[in-house]
Amino acid sequence: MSDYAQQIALVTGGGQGIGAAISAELARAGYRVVVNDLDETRATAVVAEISSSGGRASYVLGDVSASASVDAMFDRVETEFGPVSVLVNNAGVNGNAGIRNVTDAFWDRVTAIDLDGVLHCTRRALGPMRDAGAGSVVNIASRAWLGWWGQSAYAAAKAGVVGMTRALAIEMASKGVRLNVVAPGLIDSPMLRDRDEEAFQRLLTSVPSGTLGTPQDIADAVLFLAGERSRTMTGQVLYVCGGKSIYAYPDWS
Amino acid sequence: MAAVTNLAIWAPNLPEALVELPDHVARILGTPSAAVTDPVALGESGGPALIVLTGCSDASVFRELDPVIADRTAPTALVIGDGWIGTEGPDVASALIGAGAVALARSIAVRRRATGRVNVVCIPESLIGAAGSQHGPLLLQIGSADIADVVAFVLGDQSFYIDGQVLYADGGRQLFSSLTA
Repeated sequence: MSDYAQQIALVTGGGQGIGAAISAELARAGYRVVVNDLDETRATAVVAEISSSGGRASYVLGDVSASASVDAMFDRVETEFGPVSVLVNNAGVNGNAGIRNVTDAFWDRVTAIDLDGVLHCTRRALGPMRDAGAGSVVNIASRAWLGWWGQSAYAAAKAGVVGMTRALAIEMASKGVRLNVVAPGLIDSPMLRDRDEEAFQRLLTSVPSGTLGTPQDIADAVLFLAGERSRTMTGQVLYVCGGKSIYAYPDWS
Repeated sequence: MAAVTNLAIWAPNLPEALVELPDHVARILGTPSAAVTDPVALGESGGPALIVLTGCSDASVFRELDPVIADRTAPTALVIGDGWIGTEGPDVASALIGAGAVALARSIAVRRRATGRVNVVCIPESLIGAAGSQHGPLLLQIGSADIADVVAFVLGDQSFYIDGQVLYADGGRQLFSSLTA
């Protein structure tokens, strides 16, 4: 029996891409995984895939940007399965727009999902974790929080996630609860492909490894930070980026 | 975890508190380990390499390590103390070695496009001289086995896309420094 067999891991935005890979990896490690998504078809497909591989997974629909929806989602998970011991805040939207196109509505949408969503889920999860004296939260930010063209709203939201994580890591440390960040670089995902080819190639030149990461690379880092092997680590921003975070000035030649 | 071959270890001045670190890492990776006395020998190893620089005070090691690590095709881990981020009362030599190791790892990561990668594991400076004390806001008694889990991660397949980074196995001490996000 896995060490994680009694633990519930909730992955927000787990219905596709990186979130699906994280869900599958946590299930492979033995966690009982609850896949959150807005889209039932996607969530069902991820759960079916995990189940067919011998893992244990369920899904719960919910909108992370709405605190009432998040509270209802946690209530349901706790009633059906038990308290969440690992929370992965993965749900997010990219916000690629020059400042002239950063309308109030655009800003509100990006920050509602990418930042407010992390607050809603984390705030709800930390109570039971504090009571249990244990728990691990892994927030998926982005290397882009350091800054990038067209990313003012997205970077602000992800910078907020980093700051929130560090503050809560300090606040929760003595309660036995750890919070860490995974900051992906260029990961081959639907969100990354949502730009034109020229912009895509320009992005690639900024990666020292010269390669894209995979959702599995992120899932591996999340599994590490979720569990006991990283018991000495809290408030860490772990860049999974092929070195892009070191110095990411693109080659314009 | 799949077995890997030949964990090469170079630890020129291994502190008492970390004596068991190499064995712990080798056990987690499932590989035999071999200590080397000359860093050049690290370049001849096709397997992962563990370099422990805590307790080292000679900055000339970086001149030797740079070409060796840059040419490696397998992962490398550098273990340093956290004096370089400004923790209380660091020995200046240890702080300089730590800063140098981070700079070395970052520089190599952006200069090469080879299959190897190099990451840093930063541990409490106080652990080096005073094992058994509590470390960081997590209030942990951090020892070699705890650090080994982090070292093994950066030397294993699960950190394939992580390069030039610093991982803090420090109970959260790094949170109080501006250098760490």
